[in-house]
This record gives sequence, C-alpha cells and structure tokens, in this order.
Amino acid sequence: MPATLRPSGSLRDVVGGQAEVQVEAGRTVRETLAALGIVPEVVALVVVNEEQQSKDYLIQEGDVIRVLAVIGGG
Amino acid sequence: MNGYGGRILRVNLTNGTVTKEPTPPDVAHDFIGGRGFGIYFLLKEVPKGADPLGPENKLIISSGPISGMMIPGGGKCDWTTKAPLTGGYASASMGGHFTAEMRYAGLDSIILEGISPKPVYLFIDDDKIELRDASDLWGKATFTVEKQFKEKLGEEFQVAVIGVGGENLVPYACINHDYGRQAGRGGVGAVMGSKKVKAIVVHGTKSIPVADMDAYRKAGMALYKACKDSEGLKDWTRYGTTIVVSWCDEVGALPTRNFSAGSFEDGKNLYGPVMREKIVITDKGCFGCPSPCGKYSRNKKYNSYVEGPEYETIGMMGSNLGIDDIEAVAQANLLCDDLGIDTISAGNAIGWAMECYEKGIFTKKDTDGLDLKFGNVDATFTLIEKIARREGLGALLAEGVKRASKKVGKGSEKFAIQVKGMEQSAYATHNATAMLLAYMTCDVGAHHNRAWAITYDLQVGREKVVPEKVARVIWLQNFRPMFDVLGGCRLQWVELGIDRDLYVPALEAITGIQRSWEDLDKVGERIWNLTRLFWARENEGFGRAWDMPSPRFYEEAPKSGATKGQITKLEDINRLLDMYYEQRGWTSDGLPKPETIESLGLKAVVA
Repeated sequence: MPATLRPSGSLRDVVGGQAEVQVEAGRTVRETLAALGIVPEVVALVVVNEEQQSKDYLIQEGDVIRVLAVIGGG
Repeated sequence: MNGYGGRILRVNLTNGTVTKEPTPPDVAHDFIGGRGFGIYFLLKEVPKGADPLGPENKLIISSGPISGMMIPGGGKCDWTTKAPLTGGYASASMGGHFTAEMRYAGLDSIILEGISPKPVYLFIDDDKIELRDASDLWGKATFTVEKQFKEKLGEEFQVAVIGVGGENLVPYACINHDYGRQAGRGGVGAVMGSKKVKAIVVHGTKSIPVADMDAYRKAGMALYKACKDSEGLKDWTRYGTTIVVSWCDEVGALPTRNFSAGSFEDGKNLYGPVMREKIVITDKGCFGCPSPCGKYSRNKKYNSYVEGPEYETIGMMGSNLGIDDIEAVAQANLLCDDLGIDTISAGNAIGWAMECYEKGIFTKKDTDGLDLKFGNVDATFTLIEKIARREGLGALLAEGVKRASKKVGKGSEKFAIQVKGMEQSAYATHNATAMLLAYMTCDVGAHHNRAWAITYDLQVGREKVVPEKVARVIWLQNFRPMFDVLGGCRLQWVELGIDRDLYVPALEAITGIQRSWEDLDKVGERIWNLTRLFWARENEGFGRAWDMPSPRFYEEAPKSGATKGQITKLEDINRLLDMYYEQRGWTSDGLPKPETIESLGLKAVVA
C-alpha cells in the first residue's frame, strides 16, 4: 500500500493542482518532495499521521503526509 | 456610494474642530481605499518639507471596501503619514476590529491634522464625534488605557492607543489595538503622540451600502468555503506565523546576533511547536478571520499574558539578540506593546547595541552599566524601557540604527541593518537576492510584507541574479499591498493558498464597479510609483544610494549556519537595481520617468 501526500496551497500547483498524490514508501519526505518537483526547502512543516516530523522522516506504507509551504511572517 | 461609508472625518487638533466631508467618488474609483487613500491624501495635503512631528504632517487612517464585510480577513486598517523614522513614506497596516467599527460609523478615512494644545482622545459613536480631555491618560500604558475604555464605554468600542513611546516621540513608536495588534512600523505612534492624541475610540451601528447583496453573499461564502477547504487551515491556525521559525533557521533566514548569521544554534527553543506547547493558551483572530494567526500566551515565568509573540518578534527579540527562551521573548513582546514601541525596530536597535558592546565600541560607561552581551535577557528588558522613555543609552537607540550609528561612528554604520532609515525586519538576506531586492526597494524601508520573495529565491536558485527574480519582486510589490488598499488581510491568500480571483466578484458585488486583477495590479503599480515620488519630493538627492542595503549583506559572509560563507556581491546588488529600475520604467537613479508617470495617469496627482 503506498502512502498519501497532501500538499497545501501553492505546492499543489507543482503537482498539477492535485489535492493528494500517492507516493512510495521507503524514501524520506525530502527525497519524495524533490522527486515530485517540490523544492524541499520551501516546505515549512511536515505532518505525518497528525504528528510533526522532519523532512528526513522515512515514509511508511499507509502514511498520510501533509506538507505546508511557507508564508510572509507578520 | 456603494461599498463605502461615504465620509472622510477631518480632525483639526489645533482648533479642536471635527468635520465630515464626502468621500470623493473619483478617488474611491482610482485609489479604492486603505493605503490608496493614504498616499493620495498624503501627497495632496501634506506640504513639501513638513516636519513629520509638526502640525503640517497628517495621520491618515483608512479602511477599504472589504473592511468590516463578510469577507475573510476584512479587518485591516491603514495608517499613512510622513515617517519620523525615515523622513519618507510610512504606511502601517493594523488588524483587529477597529476598521470595522470605523466603517459602521460611516467613515472611510480619519485625517488627524494640526497639534492639540493638550492631551486628548477622539471619541466616535456613530455621529457623535468629540475630542475629549485625555490629561489623566497621558503617561499610562497601552493595555491599561484600552482596559479603562472597555470598562467605561463597553466592549463594542474599539480602541487604538499610543504608549509612552508615542508620547516621547520615539521615531518607531507604534499604535496598539485589541490588546496586541499594532500599526507598527515607521513611527505612526510618534506622529499620533506629536499631535497629543492618546487614543481613538470608535463604535458604529450603520450599514454599508452594497451594490448587489445576493452576489455579495455568494462571493463571500465562496471565499470562506475556500478557506475552510484549505489543507493548510488546521496547521496555520495552530501555529500562525510561528510556523516559519524552524524553516527560517533551516534555510539561513533567521536573523541571528544582529544579522551576522541566518541560523541560530539554539533556535529550536523558539520554534512554533515549542511555543505552542509551552505558553500558548488560545488562538486569537481579527474581524471576520477564519484562520486566526494570533496566539494568546500565558507566560508563567513572568506571570503575564500577551498576544504573541509572532514570527517577526521571535526573530528580532529572540535569535537576533542571541536569546533562546520563548518566555523571555514573549515578555519582551509584552513590554514593547505596553510601552508602545515596534518590536522589530527595537529588537534591531538592541541587536546593534549588543554588537557595539561585544566589539568594544561601547563600554559599560556607554551602556548605563549594562553588560550588553548577546543573550542578556534582563539587559534587553531594561533597554526596551529606556528606549520608550528615552533614557540613557535608550535615548540613542530610540533614534533608530541609522541615526544612532552615524552619531557613534567607529565602523558601526556597517552593521546598522537598515534601508532608508528603517530597521530591517526578520529575514537574513546574505544569499537571497530576490528578498534582498525586496527589502532594498520596499516603499517604507526595510520591511518584508510588500514582497516576500524568499521562497522564489529557493525555487530558482538563491544566488541567481536574473530578470525573472526582479519581475517577481515587482509583481509582488504591486499585488500584495493591494490587500492593504482593499482593507483586508493577505494571509488567507499566502497561507491557505486560496485563489486571489475569488476576491474580484466580492469586490464587484460590494462596490458595483467592475474589476479584474489586471486592473487591481495596475492600481498597485500606480500607488507604488506615487510612494516613490513622495520619497523624492521630501528628500533632496533621493535616488539609488537610498536603496542600498546594509554592507553586512555584501561584505560579511556568515561564519556559521545554513548560509555559512555565502554572500551577495556588490556588483550583483547594482545589477539587481539596474534591472529593477528598467522594469519599473524609472531612471538609472531610481526615479519614475515622466513617461512612466504619464502612462500610469498620475500627472494630475503629482502636479
């Protein structure tokens, strides 16, 4: 079973406007983002199964991953 | 006139009169509201060479057509004036609930002019408008005054108030509202203080005429639905702007020890989730907000409550001062708010002073005995108080880092982190050329909110100096401040990623005037050029040299962190400016060409 990655806001534009994409397990979030064409550095927050994780988190089968792009401060 | 309260309130403080005049329909059409109204009235009414703290300067407070409406983020209010900090244009945006009450009182703008012979506050309750004695409030802290008004007049009254900093004419004094929202930058609070206006209280019960009520309801609901459906809503609401602290640390944008680096070795103690866990007790939003970014905190260590800190304050009062304690940052935030000074400029100025001390330019004789090393929390608290009261070293720092470093000399000008006299806000720009250009050319000085281009740097290559980056900065400068024209908040667009096209039908339904983003971007471009012309009018010799950043960003590469060893070349900074001026239709010295002024239809405005 693959994992699900849900990009937010402007990140969706990079994946053709899709609300969620299926991604492979066994790679880090950082590698997965890069493979999707999302520059990992523009991602501010990674949440996996409702827990915050680093971009070096190794994706497991069935994971639901939310990634948030960054904003302009106050 | 649909979409407007229909009246401009003019308050002459010298003779104590208040008069209303109709909002000019042509100005509403061409400049829409908010900061559009601000620059129009500033150029038209403030004479060339006016002393920012004298009777000829004006403080222009403007709502926009989506303020107080059923539109996400319709709670923004613009405060425009000639800046005491920079001598140029100032426009500060304030959230909360003030602008909605202004609109319900039928007011599109409030223009404060002249100087009152004694402290007063402006009382507005629909058509009952009076200047009242504020002698007993002078000298009091902002939270105390706001609480007093709420208890005396009722919760429905909204209060904008200056603190001791504004009374003492600190050039970066702010205006406080809603126990934690500010019109923060450029010294709008000092202008209010110079006019002897302690506070404005406002309440209204009127309706705002709407051109097409059904279309307005549909467009408003479409906007709210887009926010509700946003994947990012949950996390942005949980953390607000503090979500970017860890990210800035990671990419080398977190100002550290007076911007000498962009990553902080103890930065993790300041990250959003740490703050949420440690001190945040609830979320706090402005009028009509579906994604409240305000975080209200209980600070056990200092036995206090505060709204915040948000990202900018964490950057400037935390890592920039070498402080890794989120409770200490929250307390510094509280002190600044209560005394009425801008946390960004104050944090920047204290960082500069700490570097002066560590470099031996200052000794304890200069610091009133303070051991002003980076990381000294108690010294930071003491200096905040001294700045607001203009005491000892505080009197020097109250001038802002440009003036202070000029007085001190000894090479301290090189690490005064400012553009045009405004202290740089909380993004380190050693190797982020689009963001650096955004700071260099921002129309109020080194502020981030006009064009936040740092992610574009990361997307296309941070060291690259290409026309596309310049075009991106210009597009952002024209577009993003349009939210300050409309009277709304940009964060639903930037955070939640909702489609900006959704705002157009709402604006059309409210005003009855057909609009498109092509048209609105053009309004933004016209305003941008007018602000530039204001700078040039007020400052002899204004031009390219005024757009130069601190040498720190082209002479001193960070010695640690994500941007270790990285720096922008001076020749690239000049190339950026060349491309920027060309794309803007400005001369090589950075002034709008006559044909640019003509093509934007601005000749009559600047005549």
